[in-house]
Amino acid sequence: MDSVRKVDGFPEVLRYRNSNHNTFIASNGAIEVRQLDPEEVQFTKPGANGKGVWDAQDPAKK
Amino acid sequence: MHKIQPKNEIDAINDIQRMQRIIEGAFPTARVSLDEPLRKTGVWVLDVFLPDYHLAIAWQAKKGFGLVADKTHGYGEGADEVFRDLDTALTRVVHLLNCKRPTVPPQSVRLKDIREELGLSQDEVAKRLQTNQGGVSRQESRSDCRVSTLTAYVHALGCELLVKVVLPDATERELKLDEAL
Repeated sequence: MDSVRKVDGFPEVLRYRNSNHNTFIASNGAIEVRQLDPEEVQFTKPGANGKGVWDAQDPAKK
Repeated sequence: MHKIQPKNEIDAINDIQRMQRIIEGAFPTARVSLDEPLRKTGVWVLDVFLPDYHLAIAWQAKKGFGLVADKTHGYGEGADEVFRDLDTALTRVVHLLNCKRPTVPPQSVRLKDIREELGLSQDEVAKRLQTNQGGVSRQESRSDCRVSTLTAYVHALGCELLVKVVLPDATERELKLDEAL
């Protein structure tokens, strides 16, 4: 839990920071790994409901 | 109602925040951002971006500083270089940023290097192994030895011996040393 961060505007998503990567994990189990330099998405996986990290949020909760 | 912060809280900045202030002053063209953890005791990361160069400086109160400036650094890998205090870390950071050099991952070491790092003499290790100084010297200069001999030496240093096998897919397995190989 030492590397965990909140994500502004996405309370259902947590960000885990590594030296050159951020790993985003949503409450539905969706995962996205982004490299910082050069900036690129290296891995994505939808969650249990088939939605991605940034689609997982219930708009009513925003 | 606005809560007034006590002066000692305002002044209380940690070592990575001090590092940030120094770097921002010394490298005004660099893009510097501090990635604060959810918990103050977590890992803070200071990112310093120069053209074609990125230095990530991780910091945790109990562990000190970890530096990575290497585009080939793999996902989940630990820091290449570790420094316990701000002064030594800062010296290295300034050098890296000036030269835009990659950080250097830990190198393999010899038994002698570990013994010296622990401040032990060959005589002290010999006593622990119930042998003589010459025996320890020979052991340190050998290029090959039995696993049991190596294990005994490492235990005499107060350390543990781990042997890892790296599979073709880069995953690692720790070898059991107390059973048949």
